[in-house]
Amino acid sequence: MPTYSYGAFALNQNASGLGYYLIAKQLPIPEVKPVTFPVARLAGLKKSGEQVTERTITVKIVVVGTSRVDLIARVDALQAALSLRSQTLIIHEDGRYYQSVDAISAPTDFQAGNGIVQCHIAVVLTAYDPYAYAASSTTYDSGSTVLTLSSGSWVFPAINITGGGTVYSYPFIRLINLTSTGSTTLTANRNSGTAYTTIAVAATSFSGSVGDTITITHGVTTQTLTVGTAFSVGATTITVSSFTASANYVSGDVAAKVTQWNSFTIAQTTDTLTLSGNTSVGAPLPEVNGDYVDIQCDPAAASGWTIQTNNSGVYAEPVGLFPVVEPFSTAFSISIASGSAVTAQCQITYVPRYAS
Amino acid sequence: MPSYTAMDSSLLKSQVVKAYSSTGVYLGVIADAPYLTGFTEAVNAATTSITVNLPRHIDAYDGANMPGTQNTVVLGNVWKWYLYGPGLPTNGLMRYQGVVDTIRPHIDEGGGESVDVTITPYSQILGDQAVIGPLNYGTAGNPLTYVDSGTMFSGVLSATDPDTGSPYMYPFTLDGTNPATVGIAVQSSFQNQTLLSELTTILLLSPANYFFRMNDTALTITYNQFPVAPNHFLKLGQHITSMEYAVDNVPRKNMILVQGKGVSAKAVGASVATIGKRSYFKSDNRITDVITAQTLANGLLAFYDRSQIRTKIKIPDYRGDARPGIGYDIESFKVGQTVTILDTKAPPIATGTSSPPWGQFTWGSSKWGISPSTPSLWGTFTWGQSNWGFGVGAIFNVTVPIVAINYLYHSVELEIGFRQPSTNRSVFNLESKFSDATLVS
Repeated sequence: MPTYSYGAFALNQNASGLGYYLIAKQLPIPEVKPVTFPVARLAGLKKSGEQVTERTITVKIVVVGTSRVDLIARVDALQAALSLRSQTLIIHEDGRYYQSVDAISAPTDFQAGNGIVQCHIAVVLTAYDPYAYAASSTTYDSGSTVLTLSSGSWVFPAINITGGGTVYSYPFIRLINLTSTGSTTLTANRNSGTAYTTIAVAATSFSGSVGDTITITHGVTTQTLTVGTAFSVGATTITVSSFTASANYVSGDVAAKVTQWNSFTIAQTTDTLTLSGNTSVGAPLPEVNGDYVDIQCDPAAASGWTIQTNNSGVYAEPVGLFPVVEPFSTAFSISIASGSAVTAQCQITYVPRYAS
Repeated sequence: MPSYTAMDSSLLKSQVVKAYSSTGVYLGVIADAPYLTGFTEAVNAATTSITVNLPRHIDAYDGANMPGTQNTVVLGNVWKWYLYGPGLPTNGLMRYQGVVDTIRPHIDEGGGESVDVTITPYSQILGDQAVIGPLNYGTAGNPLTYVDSGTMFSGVLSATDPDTGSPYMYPFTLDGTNPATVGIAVQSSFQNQTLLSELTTILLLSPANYFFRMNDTALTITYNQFPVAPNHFLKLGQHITSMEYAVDNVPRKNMILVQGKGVSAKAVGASVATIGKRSYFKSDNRITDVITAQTLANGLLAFYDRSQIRTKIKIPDYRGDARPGIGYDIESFKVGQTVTILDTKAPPIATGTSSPPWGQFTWGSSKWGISPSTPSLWGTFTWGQSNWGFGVGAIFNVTVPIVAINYLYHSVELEIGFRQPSTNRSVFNLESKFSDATLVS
């Protein structure tokens, strides 16, 4: 027998004909209240929006006891459970649940007859979030992915997620920087005004691809170089596009690979929802290997509708609309703007939701 | 192709409200903010404040020094409303912004806890900002020194406020499309006046049909003429939920007397012969030049000596369903733009006089215009010269300015006509009733 529960209390716990029997429940889809307007001299109405209201659920429970005292004790136990607020309610066989549910009334009818002491209780529950949530979450994981350059940004391969459930759900998206990152130091001077195509460096702890950018810094002067030939970890010479040194860079000066994510864009094309985030001094996006950015798309979550890097508590400004995952195939296009080629991982975690 | 889901942004409009510190640092999203609604924009006036009700505990509403706070609900913060949806920019359309001016947590008798937050738009500097001055433009009695009203408009706003070191119009700037000059040169002086008082005076010293608009999201000030070509065509049967219109001679004034310091001027309208004399007195000892006084009297006469046509139209947003032809892009309206209302179901053959009196028009049976083959009276209307108030066509098939927008998120109510709406209108009515010739000392 499935376990129906309100919070920790099982609504259908019974044995040998005694206990709680959930004998009826209502599970309509949530009520939609459209915002409509009449249009002068036109038949019908114009719909300009809608509001999905809270859900009211009535479950009927029969409580059977061995005696009046036993019955009252069982009713007391039920009422004690119902007095708790913001509970989860499970009345489906697959364990899906409603969250933040209050029991707002429970008229109790004591009945006697046929030698059985029983009462009927019609529990009215309000689920302020009208949708039911699947018992477990689902995660899409791209794994480590070498992004491809397109229109100046580094793009994940197309992502399609079939969300499950029957209505949209709110994802939690984590983008992890897996780019080879780091810095080294020059081992040979680069003199101001002289053209060069290489820099000599201490063995690198990072690799680089053609087109990556590397900065060399002397004091307050920084010059940006473009990698001309791919190199591996341990390289001591980096071939770059020809540059004329803007200052006297000397041995020991820092040469760093530029791996700061300047921005990201998540386009959920199914519903035309696009969200972007930009790095800023106060709220930078991932820079080094292992950094990650979390996009919490659920407005009801503790940190709802936020973008934050490395769980820092500092939020980057969202631009656009936070995406959702639809129950059917949902297409995402995710891109990252950075000065160097990006390797990254995308994790999209969500709890499928149901209309009832 | 639309997905037709409840989150389909190609059909539905949605909003995001973001909070920033007073220095512009992003703080967070106000996810529980209600739909943007209930504010009014008007020509020659400030945008009204809004109060939003947040369903939050009175001791944990994300205010200052609260546990885990993002400090989004703090006095002085700036809140901005961005709209997304069909026809709107991918990065959102900022529709409203303002400063958190009041925070009012409360518990009602039913036990409900919430916080009211009042947002004051920047345009309310019109009432808050004042010039002690004086700012002098021209020399009284010396026409060679007179200054164009357009120059005066930009000059007053751009002048540096000695108290702040910033221009009086800060944080606004002038709209780049404003005309540098408008063709009327006068002498004037401004002192001990609010910004609104100054701009209203300059408006009266400008040619007819000029207006100014405070663009609260772009933080610019537009000063220009109402466009002659309509910005919008609104059709009965497609775009309009409801409308009402009235023509009113009650507040009309046709004899204007301006009394300055040692100078006075009078302007009398032709309507004195038909509706009798209705006087309006304005006294201001800052006026010391007779030509300026006469220009002001003429401006007041042009403004007040006409039947007031006031029309209120409710327009639903076209967004929200798969019938984009019904309703209108309500986000495209701006006060100061002009609209033409088309009655597509009007009688095809118009007969009768070219200008039936208002009181004799019978709705649904009277006809207007002359005939389809000849220009109607209204088709030959000359902006700024023709007389409003003739014929029922005063509202249909003519170009009229939007003087106020009452924004309701899913719809807007437009006020079209020529009189200041809402509060300013009331103030005007009061001023008209109680005005006399008493001089400012």
